[in-house]
Amino acid sequence: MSELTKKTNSVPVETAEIKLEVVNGSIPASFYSESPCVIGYNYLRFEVSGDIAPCCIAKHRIGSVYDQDWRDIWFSGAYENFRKKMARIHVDRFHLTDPEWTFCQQCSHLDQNQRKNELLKKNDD
Amino acid sequence: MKSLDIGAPGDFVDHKAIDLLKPDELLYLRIPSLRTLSDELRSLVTKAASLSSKVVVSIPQEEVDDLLLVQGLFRLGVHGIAVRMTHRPERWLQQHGLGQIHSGDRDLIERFHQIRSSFPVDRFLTVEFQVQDDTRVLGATIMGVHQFGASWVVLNPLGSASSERFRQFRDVIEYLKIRGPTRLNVYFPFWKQEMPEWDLKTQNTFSGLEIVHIDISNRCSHSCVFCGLYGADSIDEMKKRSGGTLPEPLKNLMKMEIDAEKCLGIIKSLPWSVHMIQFGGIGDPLMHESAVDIIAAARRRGFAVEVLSNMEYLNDDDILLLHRLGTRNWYEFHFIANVSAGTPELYVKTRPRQSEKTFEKVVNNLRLFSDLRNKSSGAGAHTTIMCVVNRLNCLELLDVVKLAEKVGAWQVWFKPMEIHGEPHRSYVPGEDLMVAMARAYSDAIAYADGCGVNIFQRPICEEIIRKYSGASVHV
Ligand code: SF4
Ligand code: SF4
Repeated sequence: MSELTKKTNSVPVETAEIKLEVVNGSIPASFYSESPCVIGYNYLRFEVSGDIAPCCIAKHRIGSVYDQDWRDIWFSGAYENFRKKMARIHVDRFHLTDPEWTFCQQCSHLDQNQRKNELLKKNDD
Repeated sequence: MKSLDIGAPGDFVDHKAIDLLKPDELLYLRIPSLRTLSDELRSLVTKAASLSSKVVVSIPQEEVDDLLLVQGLFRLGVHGIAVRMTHRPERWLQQHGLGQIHSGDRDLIERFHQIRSSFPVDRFLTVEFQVQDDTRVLGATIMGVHQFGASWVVLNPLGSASSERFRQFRDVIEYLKIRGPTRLNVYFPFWKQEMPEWDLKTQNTFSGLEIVHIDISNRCSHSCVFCGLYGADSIDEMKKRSGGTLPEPLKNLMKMEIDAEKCLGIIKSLPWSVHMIQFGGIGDPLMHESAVDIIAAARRRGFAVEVLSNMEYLNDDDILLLHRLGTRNWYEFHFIANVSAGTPELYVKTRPRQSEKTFEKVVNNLRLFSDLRNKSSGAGAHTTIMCVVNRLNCLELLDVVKLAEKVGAWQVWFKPMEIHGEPHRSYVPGEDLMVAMARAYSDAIAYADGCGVNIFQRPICEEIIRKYSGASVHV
């Protein structure tokens, strides 16, 4: 299945949010205005080239399995930076303005992030 | 974490490993007894503690009460102690039963609490659980110990590693993930030799890695109109952009596949916190020569497996082999078949380079999976028919559900092309089709409900129906 098709250019915020609302059913489009993205803790994608992507539609690649053991990449500073960045998406809201990150407007891990956030909230109680 | 089991009979451990210790590296040293610590081992511990500030020594439970002995150990520079305790759930199970939030082995937890209360506050204390066959309520016990200050614990399963035991511990970890704190680490240093893939570092299960996606092939012989790489439109467009021919880098990309050995190595090294591997690619994963071996390796390690494919490139032998790797639980092993049409005519229309023969082959493959499942009382590899809803098929969704019923697929996934991506706007259903499309969705869902075919991501379909058939009322 072509994953390449998932890589899209930025779309205006409003249309993107409306679309998100439809394609994600009951999850509100404003999700990332209130909750962080924690995908960096629970998902990892290996590409055919050996490159590692932290999320299935992210443009960012963090290392390659041909240069390094994937576990070292998973625990690397670069990966940690990605996690930290995404943990602040709802505060900094860079996905609405920074062209580097507008792909998050079409997040395909919304349901996963929603489940995790609920779990985190529960643990905080 | 580095770990060494030292001083036990038959200790062939390479003590030189200590020389390579980094200053902030956690070293777990397991010694049979503090009382009988030989001079040689004592100097080894001292050396380790001089190199790293995080040396933790595992000792038998009885010895922790001997404060002089423990103080002596701290004088060597070690950072903390792990007390070896046996987990005994039976008594607590009899008292409380299962099926509710359990408080675990209270004897063990209270003993730990008591040790903690008289333990130097600036020193680290944890438990090395000696775990017998019965792992029930172990999760609750670990949590109890964590509540009294152990920020990580060690599990030492007695007996040897087997897939049965592997599953037991997976349940414990699942329990901790749901009930437990997110920062608790669980280590299994002593099964490392028997199961090298249980690497310590990634055995830090609260790294939380759960879903791993592995792209195995970029090749594909299909021509789905909605495909960002192989769709005729996208190929034309890319050709146009580079003066009539496909650019070389793109041609290379289309040929790329993962190295089978590398891929098997990755699968072997995944921590068990992972519960699912998704196999995909920019093309079709089953194009890879070793696809079946790769999938089998993932299943044999006990991971749930999901494969996204057009389902053409399998022969009957492959299907039989794959079938045997499944269970009755669809989640454990399923294929998402991108068919995106319910009839041969529409199939060919949405895949201009394919013929009706391809459709037949795909249908037969799907049917063979379900025939085999029927013969195995429902166990086997399960199938989901995916339909990327586009301009050409959006009014014929009912046929897709009928096809699913015919081939015995477990569920249908209507995936709006917008989330499959939007490479070719010309194939995204336009506003003109929305009302009719919403009707097609609701007919398809009603039929699915009647024949027992599940609808995956149903809220999305319902949202589309609500949004667009709502609009028709106002028209
Ligand atoms: S089967 Fe998948 S990869 Fe192949 S052409 Fe269709 S969408 Fe693209
Ligand atoms: S697309 Fe979604 S999952 Fe991926 S990084 Fe952005 S917000 Fe996170």
